[in-house]
Amino acid sequence: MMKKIFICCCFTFCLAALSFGQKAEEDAIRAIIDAENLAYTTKPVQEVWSNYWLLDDHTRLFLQPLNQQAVNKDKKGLLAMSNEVAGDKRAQIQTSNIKYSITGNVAIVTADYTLSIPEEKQSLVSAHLYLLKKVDGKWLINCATKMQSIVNQ
Amino acid sequence: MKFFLITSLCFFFSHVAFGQIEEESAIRAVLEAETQDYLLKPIQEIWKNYWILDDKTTLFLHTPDGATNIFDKNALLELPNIVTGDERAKIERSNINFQFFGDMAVVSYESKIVIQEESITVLSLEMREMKKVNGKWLNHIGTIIQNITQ
Repeated sequence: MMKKIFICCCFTFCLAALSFGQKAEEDAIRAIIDAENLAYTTKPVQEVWSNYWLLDDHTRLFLQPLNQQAVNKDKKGLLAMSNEVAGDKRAQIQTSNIKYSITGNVAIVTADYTLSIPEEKQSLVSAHLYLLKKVDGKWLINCATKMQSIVNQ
Repeated sequence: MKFFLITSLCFFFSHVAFGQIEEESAIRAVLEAETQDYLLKPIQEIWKNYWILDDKTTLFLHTPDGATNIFDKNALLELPNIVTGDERAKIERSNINFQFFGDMAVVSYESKIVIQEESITVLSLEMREMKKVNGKWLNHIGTIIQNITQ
């Protein structure tokens, strides 16, 4: 009987630890992608790459800016970008529909971002897909697709 | 002894490289078949043959008119079962990049879609998360950004 109780307790403890571990990784990833999105409104883009991106031969950023042609950047293309603040510092950003698939040190995340500027009557919705990798304990973005479109309020 | 170790190492690396090329070819074949089917077959057959449909399935589609559409499993299954492509379209894929993580792969590439009769060229940037299920690569999450260039 004691043995059964002991096994049940161990099993429950393992499941709880796994679930807690998954939640901790999700929180860490969420912190990185939220910070990355906010950083565009306050920091020059090269700081965004150096703080939140893993730049290697596989790096890709597919970006569909509002009312412009799409942009396809690899590592070289990102590093060649003019080092300016790309966003508007008045922007308020909200995240929704975030979904994680984490396998070891690799994560696939989808999320929707709503960027609104209180002074303006339109919001921008941006649909994102990320591939992140955990390097030296820190999650970094390796590939991303971002598509922007307008929502009238 | 040294010779044996070096030979074993070479064999191991060539085996890994060959395995990677084999998986890349398998993914290319799936993407090629899926693209051709878009032009010829009703859309629900695409989901059935080339996609994993679960609670994380997502397709982000930015169409040339500027609209972003977000489809989850239910939204994909609710799409009218018609042929959405144009069978006259010629499609070329380039700059394909593969990353493998066991039975998961992330693939990105550019596609050029030309309908000569209409003088239309669409450039498409696509990124896929794919999973190998029962030996077959299937799409799980995809993003498609389409822009008309002519």
